[in-house]
Amino acid sequence: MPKVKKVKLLLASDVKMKNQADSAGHSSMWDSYNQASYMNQTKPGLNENLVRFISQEKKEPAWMLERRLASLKLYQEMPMPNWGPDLSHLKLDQITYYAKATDKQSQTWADVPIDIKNTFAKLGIPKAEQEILAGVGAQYESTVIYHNLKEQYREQGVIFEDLDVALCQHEELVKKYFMRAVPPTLHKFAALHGAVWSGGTFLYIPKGVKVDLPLQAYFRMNAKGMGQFEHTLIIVEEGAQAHYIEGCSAPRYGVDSLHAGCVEIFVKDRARFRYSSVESWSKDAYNLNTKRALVNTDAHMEWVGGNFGSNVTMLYPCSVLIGEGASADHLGVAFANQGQIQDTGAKVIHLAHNTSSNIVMKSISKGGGQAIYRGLIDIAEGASDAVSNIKCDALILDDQSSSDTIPLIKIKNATAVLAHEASAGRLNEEDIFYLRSRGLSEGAASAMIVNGFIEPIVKELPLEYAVEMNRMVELEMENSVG
Amino acid sequence: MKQKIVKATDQKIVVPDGEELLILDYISNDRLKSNLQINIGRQCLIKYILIIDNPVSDLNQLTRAIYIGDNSRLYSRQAYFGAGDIQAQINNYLGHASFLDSQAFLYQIAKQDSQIEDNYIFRAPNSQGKFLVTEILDDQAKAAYYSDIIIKPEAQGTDSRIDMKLYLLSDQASGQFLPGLKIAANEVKAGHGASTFNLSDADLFYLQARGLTISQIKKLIINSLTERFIACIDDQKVAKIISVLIKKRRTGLVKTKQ
Repeated sequence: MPKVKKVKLLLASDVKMKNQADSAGHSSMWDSYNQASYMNQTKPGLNENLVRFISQEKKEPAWMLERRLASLKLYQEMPMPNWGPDLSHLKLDQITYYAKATDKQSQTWADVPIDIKNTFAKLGIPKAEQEILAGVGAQYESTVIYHNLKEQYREQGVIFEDLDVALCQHEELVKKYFMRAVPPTLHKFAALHGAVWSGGTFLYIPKGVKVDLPLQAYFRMNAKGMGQFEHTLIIVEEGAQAHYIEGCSAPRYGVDSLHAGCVEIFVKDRARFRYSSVESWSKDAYNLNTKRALVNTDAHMEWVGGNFGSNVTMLYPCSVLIGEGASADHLGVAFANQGQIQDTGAKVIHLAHNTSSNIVMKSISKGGGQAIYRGLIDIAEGASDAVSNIKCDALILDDQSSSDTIPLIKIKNATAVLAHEASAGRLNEEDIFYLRSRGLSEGAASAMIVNGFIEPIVKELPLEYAVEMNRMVELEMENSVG
Repeated sequence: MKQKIVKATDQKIVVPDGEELLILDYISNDRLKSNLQINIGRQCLIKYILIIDNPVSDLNQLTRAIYIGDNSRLYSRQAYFGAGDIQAQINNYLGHASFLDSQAFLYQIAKQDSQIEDNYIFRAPNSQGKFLVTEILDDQAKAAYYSDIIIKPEAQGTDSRIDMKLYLLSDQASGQFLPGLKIAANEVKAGHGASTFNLSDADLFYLQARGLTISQIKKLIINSLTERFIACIDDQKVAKIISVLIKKRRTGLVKTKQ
């Protein structure tokens, strides 16, 4: 077991500290941003010329341009989703779909332009890389500006690259898997992503290799009205094992920004993979992300997610259990504060014999926030002896907030065993009274209870992230974030 | 207890304050009533029994809207049988300090393909509800049962729970359910549960070793669920009707769509 070192990662919880320390502001994750002169090179809006420009700029092979153009056609034809949160305020023609802040990618932080380096330094990424991570990728706007992997893993054949680079260096691998788990036909924003994707991560873990330290990528949108469409493509070969963490943030401008990323994970026979993400977009970002894993025979996939920030989030990580004995765990927390809609959930499609899934979701709504759990369990005709357990709990902290639970369950095989349990309620007054009698303020007592509520999910994160997620909850409870 | 048998011509039934009444809404081969509203006054005690046993022809867009007055208690039992497909929507609106105990029993066979939407809308404080759905699907039957507990912002102090149980008795049957919660008040208790049932190979082996055939095993399961459902119907005539309808279905005496 590797020794865990204490590393400071800056998340929302640091906003308060920074603001106290620097009354001039502009130093927090959501309040600070760099001047973005590179935005003059591109205009808002999307058309075929822009798609061709992106592809040409990246010197992509012809097949990728063809796929981009086919996706663009689909995007133009497909309607906006007519279920879920209202997206009519999202002005897609005012989004900037591609912006390149720097021309080169670096393998040392010293080579990264100073303003961008400072942003990531504030987020604690370089220090975390030195001490607790096997590799780091950092994306700024549409392109990856830094990527590095520790030598010991490189020697074992692990590939951890920016996807643009991987497309040049490992074209056949990328071609084989790219948008096979999340086809552009899936929905309008998958099609949009297929047309304008840029940057992201390519992770390949060879057969039997176990990467015992987490790998991390961090995505930062800096400019006003920006769209970010990074693509994460992960292939975990037979018997391999790894843990990958993604973090995301953007400054607050009062103008909508859009994140429509895509994560595709292929977990081969007997492999194990954990994907953790802490999404902390600013409250003018629409986070319409698509994540899907194809899980093969006796393989195991774990999703651990925390959703904070953003204006509207629509995110439902999906596991497709295609091999016999495949299994998936989905653990998630969503915090909806004032003006936010957190429409999150989990989907598991059981397609093979003896597959199993376990879903634990927690949501907290406060200050008029709306938390929605939207889930799907689909047990196909051929999926005999499938087992699924789902547990969703919601806390509603005041009379302005709301919580919906929408768990669709489809069962086409008589041998399935499924149990679903959900509850919604408020903080227990007796618990608060007890903690107050021990000298805690009401806010601290409430935060402590909420942290206890989300503990089953937080404990699955590496220590540093768990601590930060708890602090983020504490600050959301104090209404001092966002 | 007084009885009211719903007629084909009824569109609205109004129950005065303080009434105790059994309302029987039996949709059989000869009578189809597509829309009905029931307004229950204050401090009433009502038993409402809906039996749908439509003929081979499909029953589309049947709706029931039931308004439960302040401090009233409603015991609702719904049985969905029929020979054709059923599409029904039942909306229950709960008033201040009202109580609703609802049980639905859906037994579909042959190639029936039904969709039921059954919603519980809490629109005033301090009401309570407990809801149970039992879905039995045999042969090639399909069914979708969607049920939402909707708690409006003004319905503080609500306590509600829904449980859905799916029994697939054949390899070719398939079911969907959605036990939803839509909560806009914070001082509430709300929960839902859903589960499936199947006989494992070990269970089957054990029962077959005791000399039971598959058909007898199914009979045991259905009888046990039927008894549980009709046990809470204290009108013996109505209980008998339901029991006979279930037996006919189980023994293949119902002419269904093929």
